Amino acid sequence: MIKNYYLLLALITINFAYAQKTPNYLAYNWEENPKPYEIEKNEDTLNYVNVKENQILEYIYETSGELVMYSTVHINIHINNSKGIEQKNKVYISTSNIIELMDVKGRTILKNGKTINLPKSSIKKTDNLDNEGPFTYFVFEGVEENCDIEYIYTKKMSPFLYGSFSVQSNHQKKYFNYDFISPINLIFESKSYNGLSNAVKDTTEKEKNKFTITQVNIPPAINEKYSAYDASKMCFGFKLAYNTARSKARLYTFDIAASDFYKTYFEIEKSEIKPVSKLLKAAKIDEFKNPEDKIRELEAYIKSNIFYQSDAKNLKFSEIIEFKIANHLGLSKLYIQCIKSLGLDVELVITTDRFERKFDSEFDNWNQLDDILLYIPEIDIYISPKNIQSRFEYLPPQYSTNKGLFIKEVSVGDIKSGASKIKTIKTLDYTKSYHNQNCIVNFKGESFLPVITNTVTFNGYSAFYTQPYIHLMKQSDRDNLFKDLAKVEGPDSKLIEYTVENDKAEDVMRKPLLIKSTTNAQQLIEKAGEKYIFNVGALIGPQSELYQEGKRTTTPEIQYTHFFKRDIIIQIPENYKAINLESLSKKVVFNGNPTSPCNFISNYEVKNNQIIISIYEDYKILTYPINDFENYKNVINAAADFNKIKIIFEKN
Amino acid sequence: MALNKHSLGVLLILSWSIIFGQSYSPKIIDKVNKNEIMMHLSRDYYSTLKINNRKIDVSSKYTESSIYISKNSITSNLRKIYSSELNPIKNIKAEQYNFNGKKYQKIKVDNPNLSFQPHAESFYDDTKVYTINYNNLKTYSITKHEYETEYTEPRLYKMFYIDDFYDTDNYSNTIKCDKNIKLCFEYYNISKNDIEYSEKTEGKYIIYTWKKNNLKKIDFQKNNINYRYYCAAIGVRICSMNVNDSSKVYLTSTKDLYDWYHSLTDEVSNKNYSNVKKVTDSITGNLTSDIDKIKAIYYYVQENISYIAIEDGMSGFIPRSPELILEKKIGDCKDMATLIYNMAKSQNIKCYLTWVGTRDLPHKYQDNPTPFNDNHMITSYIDENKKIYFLDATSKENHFNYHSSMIQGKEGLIGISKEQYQISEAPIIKAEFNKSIDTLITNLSNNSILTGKRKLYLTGLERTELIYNKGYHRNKNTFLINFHKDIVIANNKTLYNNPVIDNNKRENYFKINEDIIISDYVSKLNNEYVLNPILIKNIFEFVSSFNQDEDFLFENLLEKSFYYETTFPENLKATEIPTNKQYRDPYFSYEIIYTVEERTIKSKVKYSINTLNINKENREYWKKFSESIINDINQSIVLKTKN
Repeated sequence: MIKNYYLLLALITINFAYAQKTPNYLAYNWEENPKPYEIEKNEDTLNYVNVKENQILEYIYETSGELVMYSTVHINIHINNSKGIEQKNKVYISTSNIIELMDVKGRTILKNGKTINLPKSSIKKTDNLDNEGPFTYFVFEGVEENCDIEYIYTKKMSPFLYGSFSVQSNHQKKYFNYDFISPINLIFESKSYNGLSNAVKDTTEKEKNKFTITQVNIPPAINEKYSAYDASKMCFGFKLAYNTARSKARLYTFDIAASDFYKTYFEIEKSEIKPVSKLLKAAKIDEFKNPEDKIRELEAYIKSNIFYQSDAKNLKFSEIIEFKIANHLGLSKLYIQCIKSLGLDVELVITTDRFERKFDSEFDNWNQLDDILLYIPEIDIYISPKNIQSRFEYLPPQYSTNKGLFIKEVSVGDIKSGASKIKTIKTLDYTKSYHNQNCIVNFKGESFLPVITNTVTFNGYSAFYTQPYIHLMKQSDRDNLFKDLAKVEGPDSKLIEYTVENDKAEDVMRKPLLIKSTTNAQQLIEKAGEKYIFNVGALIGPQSELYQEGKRTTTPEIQYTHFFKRDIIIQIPENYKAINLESLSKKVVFNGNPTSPCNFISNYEVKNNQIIISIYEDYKILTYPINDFENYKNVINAAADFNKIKIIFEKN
Repeated sequence: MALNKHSLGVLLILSWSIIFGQSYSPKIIDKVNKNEIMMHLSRDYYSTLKINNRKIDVSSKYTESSIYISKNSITSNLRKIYSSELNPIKNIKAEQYNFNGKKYQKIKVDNPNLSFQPHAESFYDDTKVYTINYNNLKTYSITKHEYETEYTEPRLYKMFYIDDFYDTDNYSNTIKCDKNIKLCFEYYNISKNDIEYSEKTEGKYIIYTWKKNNLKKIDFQKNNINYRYYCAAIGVRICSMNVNDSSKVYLTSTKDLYDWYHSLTDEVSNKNYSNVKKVTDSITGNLTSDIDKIKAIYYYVQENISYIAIEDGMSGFIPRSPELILEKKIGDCKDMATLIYNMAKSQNIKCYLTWVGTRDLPHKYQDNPTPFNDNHMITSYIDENKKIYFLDATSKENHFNYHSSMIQGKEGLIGISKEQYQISEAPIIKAEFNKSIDTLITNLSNNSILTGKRKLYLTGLERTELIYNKGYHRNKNTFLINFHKDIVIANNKTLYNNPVIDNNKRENYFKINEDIIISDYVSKLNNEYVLNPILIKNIFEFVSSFNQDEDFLFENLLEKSFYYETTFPENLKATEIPTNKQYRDPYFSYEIIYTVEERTIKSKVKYSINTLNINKENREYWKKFSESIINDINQSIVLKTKN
């Protein structure tokens, strides 16, 4: 929910005039005589119903003057059947980063109104649940069909001064309420996204600030293909905007963040300069003259020699170089100093993964200051310090086209500081990433066994999720991967031979990954009397599709722009002719413009007793307007439709 | 679902031959295989079995040293050591040596971090995890750790796994055992002659030692075959102890194992529980026959008790009070087993507590009368015809007449009385009981589109496998999406509409009825249509991810039938009718039949799989069968326009 960047606690420590002694959660309780929820029409098909979710986030000054936060969660779920019991009778409460778990209570409300309270002895603790850290957890007792389960807990925590909260899940919610309470001097702001109601300030409260977000009948979030699922869910962000006890100045602005990030990432001890020179020497960067080559080599060297480990300690540069391990901060700082030593300017870019949330430049919520890139303006290149796949121009595609906070170093006299600007992160041209195929098919023997030779080439982002890992894989895993890739037309083919090029560490994202193979694919031939039916469409491999889509609710969005070019030559068997060839010609375009953002075009000709097929497909932009979803879907489906094309060989 | 007694499984294969504090020579680097990412220099066990106050004290020490060869291994810097009340761990030491290009230098290793976290199969248990974090690992770094453990229950001593994920240069296992303790040894997946063995006497102890050098790593993920089926291991069993001319038996035979198990369940099986009777009376009130009553009891427990495993020390073996389970409506396998037992007892119906191993465990009681042979507890009911019903209420979808696939063919240790037990195999559920019948009735239109209805009917384990594998209970919409994605009719463009699902456990069926529209499947030429009437192609979806050259297991025997009827327009006539095909071998069979009646093409594919294992004995049969059927269903019919 929150990032542990900079809690500028000095800004929020108390003016004792605002001290409040008793947290509200102590007075909060569930109904004394509850009745189980009565399901409505159509709810009987559900395993359970999320009846109520009430959350309260309360900031309060303790008598010591310290600001703390109490987070209260109150959930009520109606259980319809035994599957609902299995799904919901266990509750896990994360206790990571809390001061204290103040109270946990649960009860089962049976259909006859009888309640079974959860014994305290049934509440268990673990230090580490599935590597997710400590949890308090319990299982409800006496749960049966058509009962309710209800629980309340309150965590005491260090205050979140900014954050975000995702409201929508994959199950519908009948009622959601979030109260946000703070002392009168601390003014929080919030912003709702994706259709969630805006916060409403409680004007009757005079002693404290309170705003509430309420939403009823929240539908389940649908995880649609080619969408930013998480970024599309109803959610809200919040931040502490003012502490009126101290000043009228706005708090936690992007400018303040830029200043802090600059200090953390750009400033180093003098003793750190020498190890940087040592690293550049070891990487032999001097041998390269132009800035592109220098940066390319620097990144390749660091990514081959220093391993990113998220939980590594903060180490000095000399230690990072010696031990070959660094955390994100250490790696980023090392890159920055190396790039500066090469005489190039470098900017720190802080942004979000666009599939998780879009960077909102209009609301200065520090919770968005999530992921780090480095930008080298002279050559317009981004580096992702921790992402091992990403090389040179191929920044991790989840950041492309998103906005980010760009922080550059500026000097006034001898004093250096960070200046910031919101800019858009570039999107790589679609021509950089391709998945191409050259394919030749001959038929052998009486059974018309298709013998297929393929050369498949993956470049740019089309190789991003395989090529960078290949040199790190076990030989057996590598072999299995290659065999899968070599059997283009599907796993039922028999692989006769294959060779692979550009799979070494030094090739990563520099040269296209290339696989040449020969397969026998009897499954592509069907016999009908004297006719042979050849499933030519299968030659391009299984294609993704959007056949079963219902009404689209989210904007289509893809990982990266790219294209496919496939050239297929089919030798027509002697004494046979090929028919049904006209189905090989297809033209499906997003729109009629010359710059149509996505297209599928296939053509064929018959020459020298060969069928020569060329197929071109591209996706030139990352997001497609939801109103034009049908056009996008048609292009996606065109490739999948091609899969189904069969040609027929008939005796002359 | 499993009893938690193997928590120190194969992941803790560990050992000791290098003295702690000793540094290493760089020459060691010459020995390593540079193609590997890591290698164990040594894995050593040293156990001591002493008699103390008429009891056996079992303590063991494990030491392991490893060298990191490839950069890829350097991120695997955490070693976890699991401790529990039954196997407490103490005196953990760890060392690390980094190679600086000339020599090895010792690096400080922090004390292990202790955390409490339940074993993967438990909701809550007493597992403690010690984590050693080797920081700053470099190429050719050497790590070494050791720890001591006790076996507070001597019957849980010990299966020693010899093979490992990584090559091992030196493996050794030494047991120093009081002469008055009799040990029995069993060798699994390794011949006694393939390992160096010695035995000598030192005072009142016998020293047993096994050693093996240059052990090659094994793959622990061979399709769905559990590593226990091929990992070399030595089972060491404490059989008995002689003290002052009297003998105490531990595990000389299955009878001893049963006696011990019985003692652990004695309390909950001998008491009478009034509330259990009251609830059972209300469930069975109108029923007269024993079989109907036991069926009602089984379904009650299956549907009302939620599976939750809470295992603290010996509570991993001892069931809790049936009254408590009834009240809280949560319990694990042994709780459910004893609840069924007691509910039946309250109606004067005899049931039997039964211990059984899942198919992950390869052994039989006769060869291995130890707790390592089972990991599950159920209840057995034997009817007047001596038919045994293996009642496992943890499997929520199982019909009363059949048990879960995971115990098929496994021995059940059935407790008949305090003195008497019997071993009976949970039978492999016959193929004809696990039916899958898929019927598609379609009409071909002149624009090459097939529209019609599909009816899928499943019984037995085919029914339960589909329900679990495709997540029927988690979310019905997702279930249908997964189902249609994996079991494709014609092609992935087929539209499925108006699905009606009828799942009935008690009547043992699962049905899906739906409308289908199939396009881009039938090829239309000038005056003819070409269609393959067999519309489902990926008939072996369930094993397609396996390496077909290696062993694998089927979940169950099965018998699948596909019926297709396609009615075509009046202006067409069917030509080029494919020939019928059939195949039969000792393990597999199929038949494919085509008929044309007036305007309807009827085709039928039926195949059976009558083995649970693909192995060296039947692999060639499997290949021939699976390739042959794929070829034989690739036949099309040509529909020509009538003149």
